[in-house]
Amino acid sequence: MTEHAIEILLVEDNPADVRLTIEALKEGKMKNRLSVARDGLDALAFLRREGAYADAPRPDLVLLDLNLPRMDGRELLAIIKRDEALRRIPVVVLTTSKAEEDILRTYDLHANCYVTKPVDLDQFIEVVKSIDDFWLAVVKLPRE
Amino acid sequence: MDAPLLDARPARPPADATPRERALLLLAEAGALLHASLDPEATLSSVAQLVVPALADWCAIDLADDPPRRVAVAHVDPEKVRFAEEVRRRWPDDPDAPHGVHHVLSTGETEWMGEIPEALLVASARDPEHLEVIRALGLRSYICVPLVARERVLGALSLVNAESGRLFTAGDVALAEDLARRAALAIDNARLFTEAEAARALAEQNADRVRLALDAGRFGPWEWDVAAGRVWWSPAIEAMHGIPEGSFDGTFEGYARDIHPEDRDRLFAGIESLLREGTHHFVRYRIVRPDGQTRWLEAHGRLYRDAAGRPVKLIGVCGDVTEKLLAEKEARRLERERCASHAYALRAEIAEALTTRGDLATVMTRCVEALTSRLGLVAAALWVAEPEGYALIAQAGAPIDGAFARLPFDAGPFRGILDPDGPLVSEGAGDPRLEGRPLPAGASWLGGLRLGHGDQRAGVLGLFAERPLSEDLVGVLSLAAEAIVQSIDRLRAKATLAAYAQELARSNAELQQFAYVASHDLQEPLRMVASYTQLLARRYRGRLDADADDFIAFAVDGVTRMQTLINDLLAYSRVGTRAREPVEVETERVVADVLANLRTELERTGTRTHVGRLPRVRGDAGQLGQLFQNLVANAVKFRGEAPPEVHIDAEPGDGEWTFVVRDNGIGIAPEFHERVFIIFQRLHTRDESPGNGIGLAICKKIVERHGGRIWIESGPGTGAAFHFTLPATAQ
Repeated sequence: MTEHAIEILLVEDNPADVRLTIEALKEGKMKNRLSVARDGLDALAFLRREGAYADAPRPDLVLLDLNLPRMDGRELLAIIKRDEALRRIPVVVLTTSKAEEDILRTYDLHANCYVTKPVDLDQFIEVVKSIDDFWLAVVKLPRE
Repeated sequence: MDAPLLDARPARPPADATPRERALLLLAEAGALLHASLDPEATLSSVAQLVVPALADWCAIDLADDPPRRVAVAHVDPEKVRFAEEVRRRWPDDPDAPHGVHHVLSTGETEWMGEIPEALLVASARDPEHLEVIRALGLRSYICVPLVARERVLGALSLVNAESGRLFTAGDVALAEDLARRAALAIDNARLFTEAEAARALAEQNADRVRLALDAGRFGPWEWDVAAGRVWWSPAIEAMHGIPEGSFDGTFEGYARDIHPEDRDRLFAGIESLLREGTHHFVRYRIVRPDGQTRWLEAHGRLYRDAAGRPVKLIGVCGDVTEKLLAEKEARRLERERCASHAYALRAEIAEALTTRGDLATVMTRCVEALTSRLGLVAAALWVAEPEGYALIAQAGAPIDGAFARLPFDAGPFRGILDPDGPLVSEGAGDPRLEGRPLPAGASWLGGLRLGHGDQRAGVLGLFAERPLSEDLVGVLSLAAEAIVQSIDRLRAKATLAAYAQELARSNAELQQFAYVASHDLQEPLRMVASYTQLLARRYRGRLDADADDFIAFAVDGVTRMQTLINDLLAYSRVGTRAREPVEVETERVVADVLANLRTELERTGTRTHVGRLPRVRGDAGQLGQLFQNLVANAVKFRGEAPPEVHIDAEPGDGEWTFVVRDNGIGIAPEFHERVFIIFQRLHTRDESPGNGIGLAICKKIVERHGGRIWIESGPGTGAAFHFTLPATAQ
């Protein structure tokens, strides 16, 4: 599709999960560049290009875990979706929680989709690849 | 008034009679009159009539009452009598006058005026009118003699001559005095008679009272002349013995004959002892009357001795007390009945108090309240046994001193009062056993009941009263104590059970929470272990050596199994933690959904399902779905050689439905029917059949959470039927 890499922001505090997501994305077809924020505040600074992130790229997709230190995923989601400059960036909630409550709440906060991390690695890789495919290849997103 | 006497006008003396003859005749007549009646006033009136006109024109008799009272006046003309009375009323006699009735009554001397001087009339007159009236009466001559008997002046007889012009002579005076003496005697006699009459009446009344008293108690007098050996019985005693009046032979043997054989020795021993050294006699004994009746007699007497101290006479009364004894017996019976009914009421009240809803303290408080009000106690209290002694848990009535809050096992102030075999009545406020514990205000008696049998110590019931309770009541209480003990035991067991149940519920909840937290929190690190071992396998299989491949394979397998276990554990714990309020559930629909979910698997295995009419039940639809899904999946999983068939049916029962999920699979041997429901129990090796044995454990938990039971009917090779019950809907 495009020759330049897709920008993905992964908001995840667990390094093992970060690495696993990186590994899973490696197996995808899409060329991508992954940035990682370790908590909600970090992610918000990245998105708003504040401080050390002044030169940060605008992500094409945000992969958001819900349980984060300092500012959790739900809070960050609410801020993103209230922010006119950021609201159009698709946010995929990627979490281990299967709780109905979390699902309902994140959709109410206008998450673009909610995905439960599969326990099985193969399935996880499949899920990450399909997110990649769906949001970055299939879906038509508004131009910036 | 005695009318016939009044009317009996005396015969007139013959006209030719000498004065002497006339006087004698008069006195004879007067004497007859005076002795004929015991009514002195009526008699005096007759005497006055007799005197007029034979002796005088006027006659008046006054009695020496205070003030003097004129009881008789006579004149030939009744008009004159009325006139004279009118005069007297207008001008009453002067008590201090030197002449007249008053003067005679006070001096007891006769006054005689043969001819009344004009000066006297003038001096006596109170006013000119009075003088005129006196003059009009024409009073000429006057005698006034006292009525004297036994040296007492009882009255006065006045004689006056007026119209006739006669003047009283000394002979008239003597005659008048003679007459007066006789009249005085008659009055005195009559008075004595009246007094005697009154005394006699009083005596008779007293006698009547005694007789009534004797009759009332059916008593009669008797005498035993010890020296002469004679016995006298009053008719009343003869009647008591049922023999005709006067038929008692008067012998001691006659007396002894009727005495009941069983009472004879005792009675005679008593009499011997009395004769030897006693004075007062009291015996109660039975007699057998000639008609065969047995009666109870009671004799009271007093023994009289001569100067030498030898018994002379035993005098007394004897009464038939059979009815009295019966009445007493009846009274005692009634009293016992009253007591019993009181006891019954008390027990009923205690029983009622013991059925009060509430904890031990509430129930026991009601109980001591009932005791306090029903027995009129100052206060009542109840202690129950605790490991270190008795603790006060209930009290009623006046406040009980704080020192009573705890009692040692020997029960402190109740020591000794608490007889092991029952209650005991104590001494009271001064009792040293109180050990400085003041009794409540108004109480001077302390009673206690130990609650419990033998070595069992349930508690102590304490009663504080103004005065000691009757032993009967205390006896009743010991019966009530039984019920109280049972109640204490029951309520304590209930409280213990409730505490255990609460503790169990708490520990269950904690365990469930623990299982959930453990399985949930274990998932994250485990996911990492699994993911990276799988990544190892994915990236490096065949790129290291054969050992490395094996090791990676074992690690992946182990971690996968662990993930399954944790997931199952989570699922199992969620049956308890993720429960929803029961609602009405269409089980037919639940089963249809389940079969739809399992369609792929059912088609793959060629399973045929048969679903009967299924009811509505109360429950959690999600969990019931899981229940049916696990059972159907289980049936498919353990299918035999034949094409699997699953039947799902339900039958109504008492307030519940019994469901059956039946298959034609390999079945389960009876010895495993219990084990299949235990979490992580597997009947088959991993190779024979996958799974952790969680499915049926979850089924059991779901059914039990719905208040039902689950069981298996099966044998090897005969298929398995899983039965479970679920509560029916309200209608």
